[in-house]
Amino acid sequence: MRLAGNVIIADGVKEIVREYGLDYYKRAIREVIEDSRRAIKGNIRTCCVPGKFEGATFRVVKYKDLAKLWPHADKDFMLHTRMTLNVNPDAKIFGDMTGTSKWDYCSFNGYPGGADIAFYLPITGNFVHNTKMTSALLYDIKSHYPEGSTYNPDTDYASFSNIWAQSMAMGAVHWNAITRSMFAKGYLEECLSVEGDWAGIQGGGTLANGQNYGFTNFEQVGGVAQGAYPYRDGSPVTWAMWTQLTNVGNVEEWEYLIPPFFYLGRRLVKDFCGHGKYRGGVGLSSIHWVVQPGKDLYVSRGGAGTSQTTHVALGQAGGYPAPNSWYLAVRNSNLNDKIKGGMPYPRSADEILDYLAEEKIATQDVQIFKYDPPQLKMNDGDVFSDASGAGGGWGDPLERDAQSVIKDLNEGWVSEKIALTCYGVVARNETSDNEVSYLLDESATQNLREEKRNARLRCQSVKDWWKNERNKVANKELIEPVKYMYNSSFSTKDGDSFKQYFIDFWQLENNYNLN
Amino acid sequence: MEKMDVSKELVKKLMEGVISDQEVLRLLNSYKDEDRFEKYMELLQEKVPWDDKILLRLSEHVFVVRKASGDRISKCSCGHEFGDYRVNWKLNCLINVRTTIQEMSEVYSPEPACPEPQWQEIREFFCPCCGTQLAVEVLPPGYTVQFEFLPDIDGLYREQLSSPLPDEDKYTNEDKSIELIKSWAKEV
Repeated sequence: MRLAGNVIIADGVKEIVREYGLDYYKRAIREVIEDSRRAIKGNIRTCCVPGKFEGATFRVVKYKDLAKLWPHADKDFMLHTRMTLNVNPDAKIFGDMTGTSKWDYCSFNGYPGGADIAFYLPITGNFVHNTKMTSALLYDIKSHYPEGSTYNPDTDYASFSNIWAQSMAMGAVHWNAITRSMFAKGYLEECLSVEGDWAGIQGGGTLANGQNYGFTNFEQVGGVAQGAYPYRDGSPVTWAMWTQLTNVGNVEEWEYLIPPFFYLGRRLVKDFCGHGKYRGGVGLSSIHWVVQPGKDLYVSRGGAGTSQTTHVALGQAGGYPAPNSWYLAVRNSNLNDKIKGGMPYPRSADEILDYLAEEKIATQDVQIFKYDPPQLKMNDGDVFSDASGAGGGWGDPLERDAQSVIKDLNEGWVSEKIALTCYGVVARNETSDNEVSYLLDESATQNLREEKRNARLRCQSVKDWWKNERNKVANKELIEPVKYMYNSSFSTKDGDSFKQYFIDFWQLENNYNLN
Repeated sequence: MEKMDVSKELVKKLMEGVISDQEVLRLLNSYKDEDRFEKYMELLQEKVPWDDKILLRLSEHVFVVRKASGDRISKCSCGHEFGDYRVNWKLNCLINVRTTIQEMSEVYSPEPACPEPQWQEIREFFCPCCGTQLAVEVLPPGYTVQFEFLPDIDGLYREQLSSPLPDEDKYTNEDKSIELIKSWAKEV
């Protein structure tokens, strides 16, 4: 379809050239590009407050002890993406990725062309409207990826099979900076906590008839929750930053496409979002039940938005950033027997955990992965369950309207525990016809929120915290993968400037090192 | 697409979270009202319990204001003053750091949704006066406190709003956070 589109455009261009001549076409196309460039700049100037915005995001890569890896890849480490976004009063935007990790022996490297797709996504969505679609945005909006970094390896041989995963979190950092800029200008309708971690299951196998196949389930890639806005909650399974064609797919279609994967359940996961005055949309979980896989079936994850950490490192205005994706593999269990015995199906990863805790299902083989799992062999009756696509919050959770928390409790989006510990809301429950409903205990909520605010006021100052942390950093009291991440970030071509900033921030000796 | 007449009342509804989805859709689909910033500043100024002139809103509760003395500072909606706006205001907050699964489970759930201790920590920044949670960071231990937004205020007023501030020559738009940290280091 895209190729056909290109051919149609090429034919159209040739027709114009034939009718009006090449010189006319060249003059005209420059006018078109200049016209759209001015429109984009106008949109940026209208919507953004100029300034400098910092942001970061991280990914844990756990390759240690995985089979069949080269020794130099046999390690656990963390990737760091740092972005300083400069919005100029003259509507120029410059995204500087100095401080980002050095490329490494993993699949999350990329090259500037690939990374730019994520970098320009926020610009396209926010500022290219009202214009003709041209490359004009490249004139005034520029990216810089330090030579040697994840996004610009100083070798031709870096693996870049999943630059998509690693660049989308960078795009979210960019978009959140733009959101801060638009919030300051007053265009709140355009602002949201731009998040929505994602994940894709991949695998392959051999059916009973000897037919080989491979697959990727794009369910958790096609649509995720929106983060909160400064004026309302985010919605679940609503969008995907990386596509205008949001679609998680029908269960029946996925079952048709991936023969041994049956959906035992699919539902939204209680509490699974970034909380705040306005909360992010809750994430989605599916249970993939393996039924008669044939000769063999292996599954793994093709990479997710982030791993073992939040989607972006900074929440919006006191809200919590979106949590990471996670996976659950339950193998060699008595699930099939229990289902035959009439046990209600578990419907999501968190519900399987409840079933295991309540001993409704028995097995010795349970694995939880907060990072990309290795290849797992799956047999009849095993399950692989994902939970992903949660949105980030906006604002202080203690400022959330208490009745909204009660509504969330009654609709099953938050638990009593989170209502209490995160929102400071005390609920009374009543049971009628086996249905539990919650009512607000206003005075207890008021007292608890007051108590929580007072507890905050007893916290240490950042100054005191800094003194203590400085000692830890000076004494290198960090786990090896974190030290590795800092050293990696210091070692790109422009890494010295990040190292100097780190030294200045912690007031360390100039010859400080983390080796 | 049309140019929509955006009233101050509508902006107020947007700020207070009582706007309807249909009204939001109209705002999103229309050309922007170019005097939004002025309406926004007026509404914010009417809401805060102090008289300092608001120059900019940085976050839900954090503003850059010009004091009667002429100083430009960042300030909480409750009135607490963080100091020079070019110093990261988070450095003058109170902080709570969640480092264990138990502590993280109070704000992230189910448990596998928690960041991994030692790889990451959750930092919560509070206003020292009203206790409002103003910012959250989830970062590896040892990471620098993020300066989320250092605004180019004079660039905004001079070049975008065509209304330069009277004291525009007094301030250079540079990050002054390290100067504060250097003063802390003297006490170590």
